[in-house]
This record gives sequence, structure tokens and C-alpha cells, in this order.
Amino acid sequence: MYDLKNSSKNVIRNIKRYTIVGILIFIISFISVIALIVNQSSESTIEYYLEKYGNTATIDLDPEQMSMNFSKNDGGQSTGGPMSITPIDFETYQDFADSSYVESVSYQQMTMVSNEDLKVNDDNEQTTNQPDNKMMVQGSNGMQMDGNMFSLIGSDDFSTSSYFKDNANILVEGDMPSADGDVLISTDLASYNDLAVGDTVAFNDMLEGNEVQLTISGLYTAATSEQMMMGMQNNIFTNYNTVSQFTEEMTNITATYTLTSYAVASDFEQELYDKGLDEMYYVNNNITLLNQITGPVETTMGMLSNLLIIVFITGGAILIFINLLILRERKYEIGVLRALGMKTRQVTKGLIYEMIIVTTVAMLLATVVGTVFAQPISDSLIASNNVSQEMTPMKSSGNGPTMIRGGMMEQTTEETITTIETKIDFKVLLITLAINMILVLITTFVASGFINRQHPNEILREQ
Amino acid sequence: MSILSVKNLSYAYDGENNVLKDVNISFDAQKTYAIVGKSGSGKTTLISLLSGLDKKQSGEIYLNDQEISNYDIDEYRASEVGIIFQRYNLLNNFTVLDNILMAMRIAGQEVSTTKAIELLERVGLEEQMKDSLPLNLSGGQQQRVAIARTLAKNCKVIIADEPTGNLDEETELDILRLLKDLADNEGKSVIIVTHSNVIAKSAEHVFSITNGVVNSIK
Repeated sequence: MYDLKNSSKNVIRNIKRYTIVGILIFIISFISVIALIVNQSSESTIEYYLEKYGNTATIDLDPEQMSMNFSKNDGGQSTGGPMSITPIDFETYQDFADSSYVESVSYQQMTMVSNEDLKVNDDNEQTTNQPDNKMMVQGSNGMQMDGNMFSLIGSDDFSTSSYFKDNANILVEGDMPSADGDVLISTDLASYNDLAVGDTVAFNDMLEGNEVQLTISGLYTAATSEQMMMGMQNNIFTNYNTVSQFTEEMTNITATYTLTSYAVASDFEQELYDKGLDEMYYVNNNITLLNQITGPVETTMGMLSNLLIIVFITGGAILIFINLLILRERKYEIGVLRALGMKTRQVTKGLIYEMIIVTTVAMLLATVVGTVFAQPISDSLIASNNVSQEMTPMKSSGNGPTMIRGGMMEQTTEETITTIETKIDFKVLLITLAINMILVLITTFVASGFINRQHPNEILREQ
Repeated sequence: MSILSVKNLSYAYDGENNVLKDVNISFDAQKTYAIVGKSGSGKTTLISLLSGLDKKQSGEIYLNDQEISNYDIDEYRASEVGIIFQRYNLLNNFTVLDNILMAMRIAGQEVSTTKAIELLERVGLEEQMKDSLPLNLSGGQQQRVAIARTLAKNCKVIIADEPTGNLDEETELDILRLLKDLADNEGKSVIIVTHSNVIAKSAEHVFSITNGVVNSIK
């Protein structure tokens, strides 16, 4: 108790010197607390998004493999014929779904249908490459169809479909198409053609010319103006079986596998290759999308981690230097104590106590201030990294389709992390404490070396 | 009875010229000793060795019939031998009281403010001075604090290096009386290195050092 009391007094006796030490420890602790809080909160946020997006997987074509295969064939180095990609049939998709990594699976199929009386809402200039979506199509049965073209998208689970996931499109009237022949059209298309829930419309399949009567079960609205600009308000949604009524060739199938966890994505991919998945395909679990969303947060984490390392090393070195200067100034005091019989370890122990007192005060202060400033600092860094990401080419924003690794059109998201909820927890406190204790230990080790080199008689003679 | 004794003690700083040559002396409890000699004669070297501030090169030093190399040298300085320096060597940013309490702590004694104040009064200082910083005191007062600090360690041997070297005559006599009192009434063996004739005259035994050779002259 006396030692601690004396060390407290020593801190006050050497208040000017220890103020410098305290400021340095405050800076190190402040940056540690900010970096640790932001990193900890960022990890939770990233984990959330991984769980949100990363646990669904689709099977897409791999452009790298396609390009390599094409080059081989083009260069004549391959003995094989022209590049051929075996489409994945429905049974194979079902076989892939039979996996311990898969929690559930939903299938989606799309075909192009037409109706010559139905007007396409083409208010948007961006769709002028296909004015009115009107075109002449030669059907497989030789029948020529003249009409407006619509995408008929069938899914057995719209909750996992990128068209409806996270409110990309929102049902505003009626019901989702559950029965065969039910369809969901956009409010724009409905008002444009004076259609309402319950009306029946006939559509022709563009490939085989089959005509099927479809009943409007509900209306949806596009969540963003960008979606409308892409002409997505002309999409018609139905159930999976309804699309099958138009065409028997189910080649445009997408299976969305909900995995047990995002972490099993690579294991699932390997399993599919083991089951015979062509190397032209890969398992897409929205990594691009995830990177797009979490990129700024990860960049912020990286920046703060690097800053923490730099501050720790630089601050530690400065702290050692300042402590050596303090020890030199207190050499006489050390000499007297040693001459009176105080052991080196007792002198060192006193210095440790002094450092612990200063460190504790500075760390507590830094923890409070750091906790307060963590939120604005992280918001500011994330905002700045969001701007950097937007300015980086190849990174898409908006809700339009984007070319990704699979070469397929994939729905992206407007979702951007602008803030993370920063909060201090026990782990942050523990790591901050550990960082400071390491600094105390290092400085003490150096101090101990300094004290050991000094012989009391020599110090007193110098005086 | 001899409490501290030296046998065949020699010491050379450069390994060749002996500052001390084959010294054989002993010190008893309850007695005051003066060691006199010219500057550079080896007086300070002798008390540095006796107090454990320097390591001996050859010969033996016994405390209570035990060779001091058997002691932990820090503990030897802490609780067996008390040193009073010419320049006091107080901790200047410690208060008078804290200087004494620290000595108690180092010696492994109970750290008692009451006892420290008693010691201050014992050396002729008032209680109010306990919170003063040493540099605010006169030389004589600082030396009294240094003596109180030595007493706080409760050592049997007190070694003083020119304790009155920086003091006026009146103060010198006060300090001398105090040191003699420690020997006479508290049973300490008090060894004083001095240039002062007053101290030499009042000491019960006087050793003279000339070129490293010690002779008993009283």
C-alpha cells in the first residue's frame, strides 16, 4: 500500500514529465479505442450482411473459364471442336439441392411473351434501344408473332428472388401469384393499359407461339425510379409452373440455393464440382454485391487497423525515448534510493506503479472520449470511403443489372452502409488494456535495463 | 565487542596503485570513531567498502562475525549499515517526512508517520518541518533529516562521510553531539570520516590514513 501511495505521490512530484507521458498514452489509447470500436462494430455489420446476402447461391457461367476456353479453340491449340456449354437441366439443379449445405431452394424461370394489344410503358428514354419493345419474332413453329414483348418471370419463392428481396419491388394491391395462371404486373403497366386485379390477358410465347390466358392477381410497384428507367416495370411475374405452360424447354432456369451459412459457400461449390458441375460454371454467392456494400466499411477497418499499428509502434518508440529521458533526469533519485539499499526490482516496481497510474488515468480518459468520438469519426471515414468507391470504375451503383464474374446479369443493390452503430464492449476494453500493458511492460523493461546499468556510488559521485 | 571489522583489506582503482593497503581495523558498538587523513588518502574508499557501496577486491570485512559477501549487498545497505553523506543526499522532491518513511520502507521497518515524527524531534527538528522540502531547509537541518533517515533504518553501524563538512561551527557541534549520543545512548557504532579536529578530538578512537595505510592514533 505504501508503494502505491508513494508512486501516486511520485506521479504528482513529476507531474510535468508524466503529463507528457499521459498525453502520449492518451493518443495511443484514443486511437486504439476508436480503431477497436469501429472494427468491432464493422465486423458485426459485415457479419450481418454476409448472413443477409452471402447465404444464397446461384450457379452462373464463369466468364474467365469461357474466355480461356474460347481462346484455346480460337488459337487452334485445342483438339476439341467449337466451345460448347452444357446447359444445366432441372433434374441436375434438384440433384444439387440435395446437399447438407442447402437449407432451401427456389427455382425461377423466364420466357419472353407477347401481346399485340398490350402497350408497353416506354416513358423512359433509356429504353429507346428497343422502342416500344415491339419486334417481329419467328416462333419455333414457324408462326410469326407481331406484338409487344414482355419478360414473364416465374418463381416458386419470390422471397428469395432478387426481384422482390429487400423490397426491390413491392406488392401494392392484390396477391402474389400463387395459383397457375396468376400474374403480377406493375401499377404502371396496369394504369397504362387500364388493367386491374382480376382482369385476364392472353399472351403468346415468343418461341413456340403457345397462347395462355393469365389472370392479374396483384399489382406491384418498382421501388426506385432507376428500376423504372431500366424498363423493369414491364416485367410480369408468375409462379414457376405457369412459365412451363409456355415452353417445354426449360433452359432458362435459375436455382437459388439458400445455404445453411455463408461460410459453407466454397464447400458447396466444391460439392457441386464433385457432382459433375461443368467448370464453365461457378457458384455465385453475391460476393461482388457484398463487396460493393461492405467495401467502404472494410476499407475503414483496414485504415484504422493500419493507423493503430503505426501509432502503437511510433507511440511505443516515443514513449520509451521519453521514459529514458525521465529516468536520466531522475538518476540522482534512483542513485539515492539504491545507496539506501533499495533493490533494483523495488525501484523498477515503483516505476511500474507510476506508469500504471498514468496509463490508467490516460486510458480511462481516452476510452470515454474515444467512445464519444467513435461514431462521428467512423461515419466520416465510411462516407469518405463511399465516395471513393463510387468514383472507382467497375463498381456499380444503382439497381440495374451489373456484369459480374458469372457474366450473367445480376441484380445489384442500392444498399450502402453510411453508418455503423459504434459501441464499446468488454473485448475493446480488454484489448485497449492489453495494448497499454504491453507499452508499460516494454517501457519498464527498458527502465529496468537503465537502472541495472547504474551503480549507486557512481551516480552519487557524479553529483 | 567488535561489531564491524576489517582484515587485510586492500583496494586499487586501476589495479596497480593501492588506495588501501592491507587495512586491519575493528569497530565496537557504543563507540565513536573518527577516520582522518588528507584528501585522496583513501578515507572515502574505506567507508564506501564498509558501507557496501563498493565491492572489495581483497581482504575481508565482517559484520557481526559474518563476512559481508554472505549478505545481500542491498539488504546490507538497507538494514545493517546507515550512511550519512556530506551532501546529505536527501530526495529533494520528497518531503522531510517522506524521506524518513522511504528509509523505513527500504529497511523493511514498519512505515509509521508517528515514529518518523518522533525521529525528527529526536534530531532536534520540529514537527511542522515534516512537510517541508529539503531544499527549503538549512544545511544543518538537512543533515539532521539525513541522520533521522539513518535512524529510521535502525542500523547498528552508522557511517558518516564528512557530515559537518558543509556546516558552520555551531551546527557542527550540534551534529557531533547528536552522533555521539547515538553511540552513547543507543549503542550504535558511529564511524565518522572527517577533516574536523573538533570531531577527531571528541571521538573515542581515531584512525589516520596515509597513502592507504591505516594507523590508530587514539
